[in-house]
Amino acid sequence: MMPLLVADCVSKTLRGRRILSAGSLRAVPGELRALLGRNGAGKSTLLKIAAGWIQPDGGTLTFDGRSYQQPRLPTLAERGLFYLPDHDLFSHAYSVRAQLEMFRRQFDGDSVEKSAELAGIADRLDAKPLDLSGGERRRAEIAAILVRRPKCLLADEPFRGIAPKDAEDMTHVFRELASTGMAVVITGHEVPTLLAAADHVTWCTSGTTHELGPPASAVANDAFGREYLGGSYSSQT
Amino acid sequence: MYAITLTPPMRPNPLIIRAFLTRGAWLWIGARLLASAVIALAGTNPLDFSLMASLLIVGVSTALGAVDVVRRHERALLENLGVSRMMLLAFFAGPAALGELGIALAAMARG
Repeated sequence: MMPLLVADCVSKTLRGRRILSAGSLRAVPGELRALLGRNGAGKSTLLKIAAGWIQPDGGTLTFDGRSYQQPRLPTLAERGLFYLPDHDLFSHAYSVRAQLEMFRRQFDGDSVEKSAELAGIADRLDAKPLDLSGGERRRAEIAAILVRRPKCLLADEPFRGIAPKDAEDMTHVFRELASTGMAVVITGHEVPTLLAAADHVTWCTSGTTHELGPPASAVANDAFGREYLGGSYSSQT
Repeated sequence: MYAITLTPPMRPNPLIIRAFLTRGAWLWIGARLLASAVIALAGTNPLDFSLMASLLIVGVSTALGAVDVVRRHERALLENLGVSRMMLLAFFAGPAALGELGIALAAMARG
């Protein structure tokens, strides 16, 4: 299937340090892609550029048939992109229900109550995000995705700071979303969880990216095994 | 020949508009009260109209709104909702500009 989103040969220098020299990322409808790499390899920067959160120094972004030199998230969001950042999505000022309702009204989305029920946060809808635990906040963010039903989801470390059971539940939701035709890209360091869920692995290293294909091919890749997974993971599999 | 088509940005729904215009109004009231107190302390009538002072208060209210959005970690929420930075600044500048206009009209009516 044709990619919905293509970030091509993207470069970025931050505070004098070259983070990306030629990174590329694709999001394909119906696929869950894992973007993996060591800390500082540039995967979050690449995802932020693909989402229009920060602007690249070079390269292009194509989303839903349109090309952008300097993409901006509000423009991409209108066209069906949802960016889940590596920090809290929700405002501390309003209840979860109010913020989910903003997504529902803005995009003619799904029912807030039904989405909250599916995300397992129905009993905390009237709480403000600061009154929720880390796991509950992630569930509330999942509810926002369910309300919004975007064409493309870019999630930056969605399993950060949550229990393995919550990560497992979230993975299940991401897989379900991909099976409905959504293009999903997630980053993180939870290698077994991500490899079990992903259809395709992109490896970000030294400012560039390598398309490794399905998880089985990725694990079999010598350089990926040596430089990212490490000996202990390779010997487990 | 190339034709350039400009798509107008998506309009935020009333729930978002109401929430941020209300905040913009409160920020303007706060900035206005503070500025008025300083002007009164200097021995000048705080309701005397001065274009420069009004523009400064609109600017300060808008800047306070932008800082507040960052402080509350609301950028991701708003941008995912399709609200651009320009639109957001307009939410904060709008109530301040209207308030300052109201004060200017009141000052003119008073003579």
